[in-house]
Amino acid sequence: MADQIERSIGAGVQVIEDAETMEEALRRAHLEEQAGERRRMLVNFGPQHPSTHGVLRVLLTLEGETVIDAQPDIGYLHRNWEKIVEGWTYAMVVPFSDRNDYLAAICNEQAVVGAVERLMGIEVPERGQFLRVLVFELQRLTSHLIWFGTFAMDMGATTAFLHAFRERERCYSLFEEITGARLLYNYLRIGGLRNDVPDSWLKKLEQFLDDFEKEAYPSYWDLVINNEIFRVRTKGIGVITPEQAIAYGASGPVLRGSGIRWDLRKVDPFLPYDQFEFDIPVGTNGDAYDRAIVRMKEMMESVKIIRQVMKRLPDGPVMAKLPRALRPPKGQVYNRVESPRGEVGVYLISDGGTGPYRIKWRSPCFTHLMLLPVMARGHLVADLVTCIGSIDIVLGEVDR
Amino acid sequence: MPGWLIDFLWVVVKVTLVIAFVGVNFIFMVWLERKLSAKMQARIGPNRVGPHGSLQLIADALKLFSKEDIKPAMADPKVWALAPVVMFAPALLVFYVLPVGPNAVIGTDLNVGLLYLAAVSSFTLVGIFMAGWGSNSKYSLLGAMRAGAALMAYEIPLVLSILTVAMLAGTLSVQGIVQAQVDRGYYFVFPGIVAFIIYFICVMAELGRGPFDLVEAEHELVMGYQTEYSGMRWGIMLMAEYTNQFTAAAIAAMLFLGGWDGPFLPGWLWLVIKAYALVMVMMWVRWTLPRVRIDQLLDLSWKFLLPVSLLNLVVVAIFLV
Amino acid sequence: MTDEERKDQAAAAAKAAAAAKARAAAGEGGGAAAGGEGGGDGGDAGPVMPERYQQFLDALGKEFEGVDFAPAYNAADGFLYINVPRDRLREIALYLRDRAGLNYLRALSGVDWMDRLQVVYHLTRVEPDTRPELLVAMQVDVDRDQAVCPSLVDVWPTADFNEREVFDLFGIRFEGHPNLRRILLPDNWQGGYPLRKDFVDKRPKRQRKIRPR
Repeated sequence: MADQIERSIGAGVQVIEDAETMEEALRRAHLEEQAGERRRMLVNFGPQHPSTHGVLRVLLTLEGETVIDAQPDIGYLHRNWEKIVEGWTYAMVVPFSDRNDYLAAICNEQAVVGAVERLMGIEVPERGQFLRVLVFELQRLTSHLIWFGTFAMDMGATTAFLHAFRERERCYSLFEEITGARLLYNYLRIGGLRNDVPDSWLKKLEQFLDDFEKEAYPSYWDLVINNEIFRVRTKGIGVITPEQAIAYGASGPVLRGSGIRWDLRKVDPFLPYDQFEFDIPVGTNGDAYDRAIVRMKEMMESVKIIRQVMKRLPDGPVMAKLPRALRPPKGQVYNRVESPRGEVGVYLISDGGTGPYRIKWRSPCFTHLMLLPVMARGHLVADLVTCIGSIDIVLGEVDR
Repeated sequence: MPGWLIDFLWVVVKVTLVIAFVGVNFIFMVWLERKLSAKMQARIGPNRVGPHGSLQLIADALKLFSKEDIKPAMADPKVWALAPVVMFAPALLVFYVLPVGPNAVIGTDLNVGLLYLAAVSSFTLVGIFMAGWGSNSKYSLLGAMRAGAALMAYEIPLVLSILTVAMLAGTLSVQGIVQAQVDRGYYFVFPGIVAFIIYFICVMAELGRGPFDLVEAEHELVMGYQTEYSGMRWGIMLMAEYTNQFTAAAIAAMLFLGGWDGPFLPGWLWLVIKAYALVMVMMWVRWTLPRVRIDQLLDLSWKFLLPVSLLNLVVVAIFLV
Repeated sequence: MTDEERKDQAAAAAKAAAAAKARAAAGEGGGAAAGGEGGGDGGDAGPVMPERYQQFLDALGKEFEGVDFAPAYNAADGFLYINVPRDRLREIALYLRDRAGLNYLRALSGVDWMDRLQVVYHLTRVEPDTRPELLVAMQVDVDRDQAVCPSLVDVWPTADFNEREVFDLFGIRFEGHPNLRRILLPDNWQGGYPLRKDFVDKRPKRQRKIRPR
């Protein structure tokens, strides 16, 4: 264990507040390099770089093209979400939580809304719960589609990117029809949903699922995943052992890619997921290829769940009867959901007022970034890009 | 008029024609690539400037010309400024030995034309390396190093595959090779299919096209050796790249597909048509496949293409004897 | 009784009914939310605590005699909140990881309770295909002025970035952290600790220009 920590942190700087900043470290390393004391090269990977998926900056130490060390430097998007929402009412927190993981807004909403519901003991009507599962899985599908596109793009396969975005576009049009927004929905309400979905919309969804299953999805496998170049590029790259995955708090596809069948939808159910049948795909080697396969298979599982929801969608209201002013009792709650990226947790402390006393956002991407040095060390620069792509980070959530 | 003046005027006319062709070819190929990739990606592609967006590149070129010439502060000014020109020159030089019809070569029908082609086309590396080194940027340097490694690895199987053709034709002159194919009534692609495939792969690797575009590898090295260039300097680099691509395809067309040979149409048009067909295959591959890694690129050459091309050479030699 | 009051009453009744229904569904009577202010004021968790938690608490109490864990079972999220004294945090953490099998640090949060700071560790056990039996949250009180807490990076490596985040936003120093640097705020940030309740944003306010219509 100590060895792992040593590897993950590298030659750390000991001082605390007057610590050497990243800039100073950079300058020092540059001077050393100039003086010819070592043959290593310090490369600034980002924050403006085509494949860092946002404003991630990685401080690379290279020997030739081999990565000796990769230290993520984050915070470029930091806006202190947790402080801003302190004192807001709960209804105001929900749309702002969309902005955290902007590729999976519904999942964020469920994390916040679920926390308040757990604290107040609100029971969402059955139709509302089923529809939540439906949009949740549709959101997972869109999120995985974006991952697929960008991951293929990181590999240099530009065409797959647009093919993925074509299907995602249809998903977003579907979202737009019921929520009025394409990316940040503000659809979930405390106690239910903003509005019901019409039957015609369900038919359109059905049509989309059919098309997706028959045409788009198999073409993704043919175009990218079964491609020999893709395989040799991802197999054995960025290996995370199961022990490392647990120790570093990995969750979601990263954890499952390492062969640990752990999905909050099964082991810690939050919506009526226990009423539906679906599999949890897992990998074996914990490399980038396995994580890719897990996400690809999860897409189909999502489609499966959506179909079951549509088949068994009960009638009734989608919104529970609520008091006008939401005042959860004093207390604390840790609500967690399985977002496409992993475990999103909201640790909510209420002081009995209309807004949170403190909210902590447990972000999967933030946690996964700790694994980046572990994954990238010893590989080439090209593999670093693969590693970043394979943990599917969203910087809005990393920096919050 | 004295003879030397006529010769000189002829040179001027030819060079002007070649440069004009290169310009038009550049415009057309960029448009073709953008349209083709758009078709593959379920997009529309450029469609605003001119019919079907055909004048898009002229608009782009105007924009590039009007851009500020930004030089990195730490760059080596001379090397940095000279690099695009050095890259562009070999692309033009290749035209010197291109045969465009029976008894018609743009420059001279060198009796060592094949060697000339191999020498000139690998000269691009110098320009790439100047760009990588002169920019004084780490990404540029990494890109240039990759280009060097790739060229070193792929030049050998490439020359070996060309050698197969020379053995089949019994001459090193490019015109002679085309003539040999016309005389014998079959193209060398049939006896030399292995050599053709090796040549094609090697050319794509050397040009940094398709799955082998590690030299610029946008998602790893930002733009590789081009990172620090902007404006028309970058435009010239792009032009050199596309011209190289065309000449490589034209050489393949001459060595394996009979060059200017063909019914009805004039010879030069046949050459262009064959070259464009090969170029389109290159584009097709490029927009379909993911990129390989640098070690895999080198492995492919040293561990697979080199032995296969050597073996191919031996087999062809045995058959010829 | 005005119309509004009546509505309020009806809504409150509906809320109570819903809460009762939820509790009944969970098979756990008693308070939906336990713990009070950080669970620090005594273990009045009610009778809802499942048996396995009691066993865990017994074993824990036997191992660390004389420590007042003040356990509070929270029916809302299924976590058992225990108070852990700062000077014994490391041994208790090692015990939880190695003996109680809580190998996964879910979340590490800082809380400012005005009179003190608190670090909360949400722990669980990750095992393939198994529902976690124990969900335990450790609460460690930290002095406001002397905000120091032992680091748990070598116990759960997840703590690495999370401790840096808490250090950055709450100003709690984690002793023994190998790389305690700012992570989210700018390197040259001088404005204090944003998530503390007494934080005042001293940066010059941007004037908002409102154009008259």
